[in-house]
Amino acid sequence: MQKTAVNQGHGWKFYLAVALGWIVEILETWIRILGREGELQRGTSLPGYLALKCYPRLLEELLATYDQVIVVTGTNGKTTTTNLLAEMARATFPDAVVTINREGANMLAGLVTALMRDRKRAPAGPVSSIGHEDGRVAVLEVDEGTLPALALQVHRVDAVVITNLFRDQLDRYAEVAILAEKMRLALGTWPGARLILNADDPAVARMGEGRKGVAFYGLEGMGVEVGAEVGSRTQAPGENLLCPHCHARLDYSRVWYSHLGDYRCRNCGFSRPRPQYRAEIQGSWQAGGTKLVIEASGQKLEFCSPLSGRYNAYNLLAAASALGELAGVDRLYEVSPVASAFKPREGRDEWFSWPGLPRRARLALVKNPVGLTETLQSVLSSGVRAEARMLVLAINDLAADGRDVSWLYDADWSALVGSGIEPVICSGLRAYDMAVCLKYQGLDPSRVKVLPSLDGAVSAFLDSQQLELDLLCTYTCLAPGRRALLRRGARPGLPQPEMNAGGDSSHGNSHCPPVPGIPQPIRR
Amino acid sequence: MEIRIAHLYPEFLNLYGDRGNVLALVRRAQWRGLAATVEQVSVGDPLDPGRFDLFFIGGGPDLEQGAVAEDLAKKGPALSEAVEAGAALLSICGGYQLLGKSYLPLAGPAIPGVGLFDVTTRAGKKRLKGNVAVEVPFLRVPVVGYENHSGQTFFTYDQHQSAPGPGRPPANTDQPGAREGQPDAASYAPAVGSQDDQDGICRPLGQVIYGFGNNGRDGYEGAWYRHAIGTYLHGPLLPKNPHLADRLLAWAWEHRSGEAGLTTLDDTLEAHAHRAVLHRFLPWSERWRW
Repeated sequence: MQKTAVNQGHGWKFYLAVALGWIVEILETWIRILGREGELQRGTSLPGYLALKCYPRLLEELLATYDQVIVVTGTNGKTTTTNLLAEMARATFPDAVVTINREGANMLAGLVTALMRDRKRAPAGPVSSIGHEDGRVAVLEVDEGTLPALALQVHRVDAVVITNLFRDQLDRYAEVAILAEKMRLALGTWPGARLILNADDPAVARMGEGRKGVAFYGLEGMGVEVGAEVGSRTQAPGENLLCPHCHARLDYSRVWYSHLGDYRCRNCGFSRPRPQYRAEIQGSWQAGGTKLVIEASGQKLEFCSPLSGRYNAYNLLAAASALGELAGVDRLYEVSPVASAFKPREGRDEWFSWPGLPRRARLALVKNPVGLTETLQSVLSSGVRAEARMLVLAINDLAADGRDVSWLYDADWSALVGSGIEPVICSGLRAYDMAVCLKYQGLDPSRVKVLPSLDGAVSAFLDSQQLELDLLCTYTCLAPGRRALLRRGARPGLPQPEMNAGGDSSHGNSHCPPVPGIPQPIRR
Repeated sequence: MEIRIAHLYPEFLNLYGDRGNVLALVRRAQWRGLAATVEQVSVGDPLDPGRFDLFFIGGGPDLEQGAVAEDLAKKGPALSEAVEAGAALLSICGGYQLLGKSYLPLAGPAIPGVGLFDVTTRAGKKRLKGNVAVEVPFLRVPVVGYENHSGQTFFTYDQHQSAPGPGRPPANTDQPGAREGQPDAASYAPAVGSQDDQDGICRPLGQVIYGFGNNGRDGYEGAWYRHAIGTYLHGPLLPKNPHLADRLLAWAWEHRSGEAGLTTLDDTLEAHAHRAVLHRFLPWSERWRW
């Protein structure tokens, strides 16, 4: 890690803006406490919004006090990748201050709020010069649509991690091709930034062209759906199937999911770059936790993650690749335990349980067709048997969710239709749209129940005999869903004995059984 | 006897849950005990006009839309032939634009379209997006959906003068030269029989009661010619608007079997979803009853 922070004097407006932000935040906290929500509710981006209005250069000046600024962006997996990377960085550099925008507030105002809060907690002292492992690192999750705005405001970013680009909230981001082009231009304003890119996504891989300091990561081995033609004439939600250069159709020899795979354009020769960080999923991810073997610079490292699903394999790989670029590949040995112990953030596959009751609930965010398809598959293939669980689909259509709910039809519902889960509860402002969608997907309407309020949905679960509640929420349903659970006696986390219960390895899997032929990582 | 549905360019034009529309048609046929098959027709595939009873074309991103425009121009005559012979057609967003007379990009020359609908589309700078509700003359209840388009579509005859209202003769039929090469005013006579009999004039599908519609200016939405419908509404359109889905299906069934009318289905859930949207955006919408 190199120190690049500038010790600069700030103008009085800077201090005024920061003070304003702090005051607004304190007021907000008081209001929350008075409103008896207390810990239940997280802060908003309002302090950052006001401070930024008061002093537009605030973000740039705040970021200038960090030695490393790492931006994580893309459609799916930003939050998990950001948190994983931050945990790994903390483990690798115990003396460094690592800041993240933990609330998932990933637009400019949210970034400013998080950075101001960090400044209050750990004031930017004079940058010390003892070694280079005690610097200040900012790992920031940035909304992919906000990247162009960030590029205008912030002139130094040290690394950018891009996870993937799927269709998401078309009313906000327009089409993927347009968004990718805007992002590419934004990256052009940071010529010195290191890029850590997903080689398996054509639109993301293309952003590395003509740049120095690009590292690619991608999945390898264990071909899934080998030779499948992506997206066409199957249920799979194929997207972005055209070559980003010449717009001819891409040929895929292997697909991981959606359009992530090994592709090649016959027309212009554009193809998947060979990734420096290659990962192979060991064993079946259907069973729950993911075991990954990451290969980089001739070394093989084993990572185990309690997170299930192929998308989480990508998140882990992205975070590990970024750390490898930041700290050197040799230090990846040290972060393998971090991945095993990683606890997902609120609403990212978060578990709840009721003390003294054999019941539990899982809260997961769904926001676009590909994510929904993958989450459904991962949720349905782990946990208790189908007859003992209840599924809630909470769909809102507010600005942060995307106003347009037609994406529900682009997900693959076959896994749910084929399962024996009953009832499936539809909730949120668009509960009836969800119910109609399920009816047309082939789910018998008698299995579907509409309860627009999330409190009602959780109560229905507690009144039933079911053991597990799976709560899939769009963004603005997450907080109400969490609140409904906590109000009805649920506590975050799972009780210890249950975590190691047999037959369910989707969580609490904190050790990796050795795989023959692969040396276990040794802590130095 | 089965209803044959052609889904055009499914891998390119699939932007806004379009597969939900095809799904709705198939399911509603199946629930009535009618067989329905979907054939996917894509770039380079031949199109036999007599084979299908219903055609569906969805919307796609600009890039993908460009990829099919050329191919659709080749299939145009076959599509027109099928529509003239009474086949049903539903086109949404990009598909609707491509079936118009032309598309005028922000820069460059106009791209000719199939010309099935008497509309022309100009690229606009502002995106027209949001929930939308449309009163359609041949349906008792409005149609609801979501729109998201930057192209602004105008009826070719209403660029310089007022357009005929949806489903009724133009207010002022004595203006000569309004529509070149089209039948004269005498054939505007009101349709005999059921209200949805089309008289061979391309008309707007309906009048916007909430949202933007074709262009956000003249208050019209979509186009309607014989049994062909073009519209900007997705969401997807048909699952939430079973009355429109059944209208298309009835046309298709009539084309196949010569029989008119379909049995009714239990649409409680659909009606709830429909009403939830209408009441949220049009709180005074009490007067429409299913």
